[in-house]
Amino acid sequence: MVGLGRSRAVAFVAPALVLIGVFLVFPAFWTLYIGVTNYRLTGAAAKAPEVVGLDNYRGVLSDPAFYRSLWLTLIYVLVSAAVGQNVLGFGLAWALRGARRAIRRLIESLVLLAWVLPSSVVAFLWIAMLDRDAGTVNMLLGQSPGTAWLVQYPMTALVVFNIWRGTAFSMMLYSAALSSVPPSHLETARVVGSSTMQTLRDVVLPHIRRHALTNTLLITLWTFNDFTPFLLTAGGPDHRSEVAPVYIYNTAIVGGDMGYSGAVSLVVLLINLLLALVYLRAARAGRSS
Amino acid sequence: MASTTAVGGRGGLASAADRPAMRPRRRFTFAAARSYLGIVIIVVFCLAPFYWMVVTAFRNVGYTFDTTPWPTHITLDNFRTAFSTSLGNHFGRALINSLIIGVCTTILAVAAGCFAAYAIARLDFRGKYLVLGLVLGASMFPGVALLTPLFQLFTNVHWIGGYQALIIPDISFALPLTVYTLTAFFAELPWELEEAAVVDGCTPGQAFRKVLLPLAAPGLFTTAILAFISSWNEFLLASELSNDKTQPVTVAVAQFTGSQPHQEPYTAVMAAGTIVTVPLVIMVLLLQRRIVAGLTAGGVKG
Repeated sequence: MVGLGRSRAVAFVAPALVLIGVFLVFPAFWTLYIGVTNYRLTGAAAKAPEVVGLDNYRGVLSDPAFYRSLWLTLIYVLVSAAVGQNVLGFGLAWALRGARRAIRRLIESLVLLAWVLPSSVVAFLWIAMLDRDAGTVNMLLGQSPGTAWLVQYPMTALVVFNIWRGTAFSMMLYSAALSSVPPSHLETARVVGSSTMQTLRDVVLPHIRRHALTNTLLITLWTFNDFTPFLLTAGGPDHRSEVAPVYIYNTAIVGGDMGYSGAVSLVVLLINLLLALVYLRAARAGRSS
Repeated sequence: MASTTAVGGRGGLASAADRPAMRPRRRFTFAAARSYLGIVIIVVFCLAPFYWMVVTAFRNVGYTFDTTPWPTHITLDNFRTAFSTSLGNHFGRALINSLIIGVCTTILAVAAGCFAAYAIARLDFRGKYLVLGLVLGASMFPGVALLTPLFQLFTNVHWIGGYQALIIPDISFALPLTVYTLTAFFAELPWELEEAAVVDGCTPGQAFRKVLLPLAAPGLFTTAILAFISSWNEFLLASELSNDKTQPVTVAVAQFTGSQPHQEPYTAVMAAGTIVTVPLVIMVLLLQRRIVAGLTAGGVKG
């Protein structure tokens, strides 16, 4: 160990910790306070918010709109991330494992592109694609005026969009994970004539279990906190696609009731913290085994 | 199959002997055909939106709702509309803003992240895992939940409308990823070299700067790309914490006004989207391997 003591370690970690502490952790705790006030975006309560006690929290916990947003978030996360991105990402990584390098690179770039572009741009792209009158999808289906996808099937549209958007990460992670499976094991499985499903279950899965866990939890959290649905449907029509982050935004910025949204935020933060704890525990269990 | 049965007579014995070797190959070609079909579908699925964006960006605004799948009525007017300040689009300014915010965020986040990751990877101190856990936990905060407190905080200190109101939260959002990725990279470095340099008479600072930093450069570079992308793409906070003077491209694109009144300016937005996309496409094509390495470093090794 080079001569760097505890004090220097603290000095090294300090700038990052201060930034994270002041602008991430402190605001998170601040929502606790905002949640007990009647703070509003505009008007008198914007200048001098008053403490209203636990009213907001009581309101949130008896608000059907809040439970609906949680339910929609659950569907969104489970279908698009935990199943959609995970399975498609693994499938792609598995299919491309033997492909030529040029093809692999091409696919990787394309999938990565969807992941890397600004959400406001890709959201607009999808709105144009799913447009009722001139959308590409309706054009391909040969109907005009066609289906208003984002109005009639808002959740389905969001799920397909998120799968398109986020599969890249799963694919890259699984590609890296698959390279850790010893080729000799795969060869043995092939020689003894095991089917693809058997090979996946008995040979591949034990090697990539930890990666699968990491991946699932990361994409779960990202999707849980994803704000892009707002740009596609703004939670509508009639709140039918109002996932939790959109619900928070709609109460705080659109509705102007920041005190109430603070209370919602806190509940959502707690759920996140819970998920993060599960992740950290699982990661530690994976490391020690 | 056909070739095996076609070889009759004496060849039969040889072909029978060949069969076990042939079978996996035949299965491979079938599987390959299937996976190529899958690949083609995926390529179309991935590419179609981008293709449509570029085609629409170059299409005359009067033909916005033309559904010809190939480029028609090609014009550069949409790009002019996007940059037209007389229509109230501050796109040129927004591009500069995004660059300022992105570059500042990247430099500061990588610098702060580099120090923290060095300490975590290299030094033994109590509370190390607490720091890492805190960093990881913080990366999982939903941005939208922090919007209200940050808005209130920045209003109170009169930061709204300043670049710092956008850069500093961007740094905090990029930092968890930066620290985590860099820690994974630093853990792989040959630290014996540093000790050797110290034995040879370097100070620890010199040893780090002259011996290890060059080795760590690829990792730093990758992390910088990721930090830049995350800041370039940030929309939610910027939409509330910026004004006309400081708004980045992501916000500008969402607030476009077109050349035709009462019409969604699809073509102009597509033109702007194409411009915003170009630097990222170039980055992805040139630095794909690095980006993949950076993204998987934390996930796979962590």
